[in-house]
Amino acid sequence: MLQALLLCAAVFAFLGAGDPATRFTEIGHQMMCICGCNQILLECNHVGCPDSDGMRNELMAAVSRGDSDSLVEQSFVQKYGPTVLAAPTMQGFDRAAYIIPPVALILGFGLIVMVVRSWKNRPAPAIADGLRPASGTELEQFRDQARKETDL
Amino acid sequence: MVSRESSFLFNNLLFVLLCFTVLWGTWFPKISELVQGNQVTVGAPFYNRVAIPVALLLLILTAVGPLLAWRKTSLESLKRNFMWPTIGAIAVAIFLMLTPQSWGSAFGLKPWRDISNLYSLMAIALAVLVTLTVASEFYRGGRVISKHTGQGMFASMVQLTHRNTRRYGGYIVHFGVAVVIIGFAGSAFNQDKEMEMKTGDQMTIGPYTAICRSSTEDDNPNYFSQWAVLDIYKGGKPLGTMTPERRFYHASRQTSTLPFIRSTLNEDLYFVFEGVNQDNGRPILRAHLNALVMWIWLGVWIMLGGTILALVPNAPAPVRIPAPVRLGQPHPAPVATGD
Repeated sequence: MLQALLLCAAVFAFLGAGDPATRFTEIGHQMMCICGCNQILLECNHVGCPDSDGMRNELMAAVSRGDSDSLVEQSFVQKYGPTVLAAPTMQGFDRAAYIIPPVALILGFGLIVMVVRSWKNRPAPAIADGLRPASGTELEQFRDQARKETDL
Repeated sequence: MVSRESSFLFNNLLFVLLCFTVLWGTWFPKISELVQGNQVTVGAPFYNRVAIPVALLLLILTAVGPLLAWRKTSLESLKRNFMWPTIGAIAVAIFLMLTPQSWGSAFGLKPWRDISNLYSLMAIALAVLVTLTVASEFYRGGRVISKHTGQGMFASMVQLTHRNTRRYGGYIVHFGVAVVIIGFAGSAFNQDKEMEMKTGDQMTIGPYTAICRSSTEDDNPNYFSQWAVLDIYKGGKPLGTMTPERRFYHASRQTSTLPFIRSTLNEDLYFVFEGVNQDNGRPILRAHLNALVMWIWLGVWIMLGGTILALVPNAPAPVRIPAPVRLGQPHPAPVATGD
């Protein structure tokens, strides 16, 4: 039973991952053309590009050989340098590229919560003599009345 | 915390975060060089990973924000305003998952397969949520006016819009944004293919088949041109002819490609004459199939229309509807419209 479950999990994990054309497209969109055009390898439309054809052929050869994604990327990095990858990796300091934006979101969210709480705790504005602000049940009654008069 | 004021704050936070992401991505190669001694590239895959979830959060706020009350929104109000739009959005998402992929690019989505399918499904579902919340605003306001004036629903909605053009023009702009997002969601399904084609050769991309009928070249005092004539079929049915061309202008010594585009609501199909194989003279053609691109154009036009509407002055005299006697007040006050 356990073996059957593990097999199912493996099948789902590798579903669609093995097709060479799909892998070529996926890996090719993770790399940059090194001719200096600043385009993704498979999107390089630089007229007369001296490098993209060679790189695409290399990639196709590696994928056809059955090399894993990480092996293909490593071999390209060794040959062309780390700038051949189109995005930072998830190793070492490169992880900071992906960690900092969510940290900024969390800090910003915390700041907003503090601001909203300070707005809630502000003292009520001064009101002219003879008038009193509606609050509590009376305010809810007025809100209900407004809702009924403007909605069905 | 659940109020229109806080939704504006969250909205601004997300926009600032997007700007920060671009700044961080621009600086990171230099920071990486300072810290680890080598530069890295920060390209499209980084921005796709970081910015797309933020954009989806923004889309949620676009749907939710206009229906939140100022100062405080009760849970009952949230349920009342969002129940049917949420049910509609979920129904559309389920429909898109269950339909066959042969229906078009946005159909047959399988979010468990890869992240781009998941993002596309979420983007379309949230765009539907935005559309339904905007529609519900027009419907509810129009229904109130229709009840009081006896007019038809459409006339009531027009009158509603004219009373507060800034607000309802803004809603139309939001709807335009939703349409543009649907267009962006199609980019997950883009395909392209390059092939050397001699006369009679066939290229298949998506549901289309292109057969090269001929290729030729011409030289005139202005430019030298090369082009191919392709017969296009979809499901065996002929759709017409496409003639992608490449020109070399003599005076400026510049090359320019003139792609041939066939644009429909479902996708844009275009062919580019890339060049000619120097050994055998055969044309090299590149086909691009880009899904839902026309939605981006439509969405921009809708946004433009909403903006123009928002600039139109409001109707001169609001309709005065006597309100019933209020609690504790001796004289009934007339109800006028406003923001």
